[in-house]
Amino acid sequence: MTSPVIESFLTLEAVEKLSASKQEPEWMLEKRREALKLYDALPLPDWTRGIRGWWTSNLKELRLESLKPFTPAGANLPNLNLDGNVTIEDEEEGETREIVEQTAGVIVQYNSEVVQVELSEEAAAQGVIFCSLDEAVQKHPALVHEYFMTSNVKPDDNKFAALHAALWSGGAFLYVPKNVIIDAPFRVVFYADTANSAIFSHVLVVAEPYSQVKIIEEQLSASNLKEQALDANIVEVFVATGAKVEFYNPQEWGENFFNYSTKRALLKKDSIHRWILAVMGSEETRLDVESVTLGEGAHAESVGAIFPNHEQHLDLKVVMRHSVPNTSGDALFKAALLDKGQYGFQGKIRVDKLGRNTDSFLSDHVLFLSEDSKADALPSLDVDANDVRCAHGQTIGMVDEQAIFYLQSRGLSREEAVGLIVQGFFEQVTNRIPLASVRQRMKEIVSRKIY
Amino acid sequence: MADELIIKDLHVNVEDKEIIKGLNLTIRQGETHVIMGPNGSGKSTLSNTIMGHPRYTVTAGDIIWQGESILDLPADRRARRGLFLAFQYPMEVPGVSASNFLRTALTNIRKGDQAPTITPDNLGEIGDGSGGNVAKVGGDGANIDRSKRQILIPPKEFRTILKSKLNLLQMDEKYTKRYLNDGFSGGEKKRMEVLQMAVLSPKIAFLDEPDSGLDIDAIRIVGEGVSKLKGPDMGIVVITHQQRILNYLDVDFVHVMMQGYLVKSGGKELVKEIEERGYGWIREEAGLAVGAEEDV
Repeated sequence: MTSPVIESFLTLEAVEKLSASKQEPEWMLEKRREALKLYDALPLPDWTRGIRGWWTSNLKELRLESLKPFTPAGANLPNLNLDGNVTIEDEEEGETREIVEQTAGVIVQYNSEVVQVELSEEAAAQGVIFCSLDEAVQKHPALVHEYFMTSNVKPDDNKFAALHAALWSGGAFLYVPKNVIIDAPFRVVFYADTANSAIFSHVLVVAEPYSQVKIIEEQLSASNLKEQALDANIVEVFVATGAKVEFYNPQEWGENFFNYSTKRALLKKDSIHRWILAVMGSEETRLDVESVTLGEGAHAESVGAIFPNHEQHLDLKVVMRHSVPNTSGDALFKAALLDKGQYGFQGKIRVDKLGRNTDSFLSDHVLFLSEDSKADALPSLDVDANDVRCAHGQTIGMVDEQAIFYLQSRGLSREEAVGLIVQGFFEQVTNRIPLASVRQRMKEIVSRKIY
Repeated sequence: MADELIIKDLHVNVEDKEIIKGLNLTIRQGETHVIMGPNGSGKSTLSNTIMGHPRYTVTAGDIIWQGESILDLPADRRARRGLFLAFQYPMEVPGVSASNFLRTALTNIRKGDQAPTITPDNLGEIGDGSGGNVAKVGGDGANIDRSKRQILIPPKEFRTILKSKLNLLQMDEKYTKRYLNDGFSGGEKKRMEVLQMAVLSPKIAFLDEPDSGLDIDAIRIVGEGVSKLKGPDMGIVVITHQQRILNYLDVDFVHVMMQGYLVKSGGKELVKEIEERGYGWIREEAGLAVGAEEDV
C-alpha cells in the first residue's frame, strides 16, 4: 500500500483516491461515497454557544477546508514507552521496583497510517484478532462489513461521523472470540505531529459472548504544532451476552487539536461495559459517550476526569440509555477548571418504555481553580418507564481555600497544595487505569497543568 | 542555642474587625506554653496568624522567628522554617493518601526554606536526573518529562520514620493508608494532627484546641501523644479553654487571653486557680469590661 497524496479535502475525488490507494472492496468505497453525501447534507452540530446556549464561548473556528484528509506517517515517532517499563513504589515494603507491564497487543497509528501492530502469542493462539482496520477490511471483510459503522455509530449520527466514514484511515480492530478472557490490556496509540492534518481515528471492538477484554486508547501529539489539526474520532464497542469490556481513553491531544469524538457501547444480556475517560488535551473537544443496554441484566459504567486549562474548551455529552428491563448504570464525571478553561457537561439517563426496573445513577462534580473558568453542567433524567430507580447528583464549587492553607501549613507550596487536591479529586477515575505507566502520565499531566 | 519566636505588639484584623489588640509573647524551643481563655478571646486568631493564614491581616507589630520577621512569608515557607499548627478543625482531603501526603510534606520541610520551590521556570532543574522513560509528547499542557518530577524522600527511609512515629504514638498503620482525614472521627483527626507533628518535628508547634470535641479517653491519648513529642528542640504552645489535657502535659508557662489581649501570665499554678475561680477575677484585674462574646 502506498500513501496517497490527497490535497483536496471534501471531494468525491479525494474519497475515491483514498479508497483506491487502499485497494478497498467496492462495498467500502460505496460506504465512503454515501457518507460524503451525508456530510454535505447534515448541519454542523450546534455546540458553539455552550450546551444551553447561555454563555459565550470564545471558540476558535475550525477551518475544515485547510485540512488535509490524509497525512502519511513521519519519521519522528517519540518513545511511547510501549514496552511498559515502569518504576512503581511498593508502599508496603517501602521499596521502588522496576517492572515491565504486560500488554496483550499494541497498535500505533502515526498520523493517518498504522505503523506498528503487535499481538501477544497467547492472545493470538486463542483466536483474538487485533489489527489495523485497513487490514481488517482486506482480511476479515465479513466482520468489518457487519460491524463497522452499521448498527453502532452510524454515518448519519452527525456531520463529523459522516466525515469520518468518508475519509477514515488506519484504525484499530479488536475481535475477541467466545469465552476468551484476556487480562492484560490492549493498547491503541494515535500519535500525530502534522499541522493542518485531519486524523480519523477509529477503534472497533467486538467482544463475543462471555469474553473479557480491556482496551486503552491513547491520543498524543507533538507539542510544536503551530496550526490547527483535527481528530474526528469514533469508537464502537459491541459487548455480547455475558461479556465484559473495559475501555480506557486518556486523551492528551496538543492544544491546537480539535477533537470531535463519538464513542458508543452496545451491551447485550448480562454483559458489563465500562468507559474510563481522562479528557486532558486538545483545544476543543466535543465528546459524545453513550452506553446502550440492549439485553436484560446488562450493566454500564461511565467515569471521566476532565481538566481544561489555558483556553481549552472541553464538552461532553454522556448518555446512559436503558432500552430493556432490569439493567443498571453508574456514571461519575469530575471536572477541574483552571485559567480560562471551559467545560460543558450534558449527562442524561434515558430509560425507554420497556426499561422497567432500571437502576441508574449519574453524578457530576465541578471544581473551579480559577474565577476566569466557566462550566455549564446539566445532568438530566428522561424516563418513559415505570418502576425505575434513577437519580442524579451534582456539586459545583471553588477549591477550598481552607484546605489549601491546611496543606500549605505542612510545607507544600500553594501549587503543590492545589495539585494534591486536584489529584485527590480525580483519584476515583485515574486509579482505575490498569497500566501504572499511563496512570503516572495522567498524574504528571495534572501537575503540569497546575505548575 | 534555642531559637526564639518573638511576638511583638501584634495587632490583627479579620475583615476590618480588630481581634488581637497588641500582644507580646516569646516562645523558645524546649518550652511548653498554654494559652487559655474564654471562647472568642482571639486564641485561634493568634495561631492562624502565626502560621500565615491569608484571612488574617496584621495591622501593626511583628512576628520574629530566628531573628527575622516572617510576616511576609506564606504558610508553606513558615512551615519550612520549622513552625507548625495543629488545626482545631483539620481539613479532609479525599483521594490523597495520608502517607503520600506526609512524605511530600516531610520532603518539603527537610529542604528548608532555602531550596528553590518548584515553578514552571525551574521545573527541569529539580528532577531526579533519571530522565525517565515517559514519552515527551502531547501539547503544551500535556508535555510530560519525568525528570521534572520532584524527588521525594526515598520510600524506605520515609517508611522507617513513619513506623517509628506510629509506634511512639501507639497508632495503627491503617490511619496512614486512608485518605487524609477523609471520614475520620473527631478524635482520629486530632491524632492525625499529632502524628503529622511527630513526623515533621517542627521547632515550634501550635496546637489549636487539640482537645475540643473529644471524650475523656481521646483527650488522654492526644495529651500523652503531645507529651511524648516534647523535647529540647521543640517548643509547644497549647491553646485550650479546658484544663483536662494539661493533666498529661508538663507546662512551663500559662497565659490567659481575653478580648485580644494577653492579660495574665504565670506558671502551672495558674491553671488550678482558673479551674477554681473562673476567668472573672482576671478580667477585673485587667480592668476589662464584661465582653458579650465570652463565657462568664
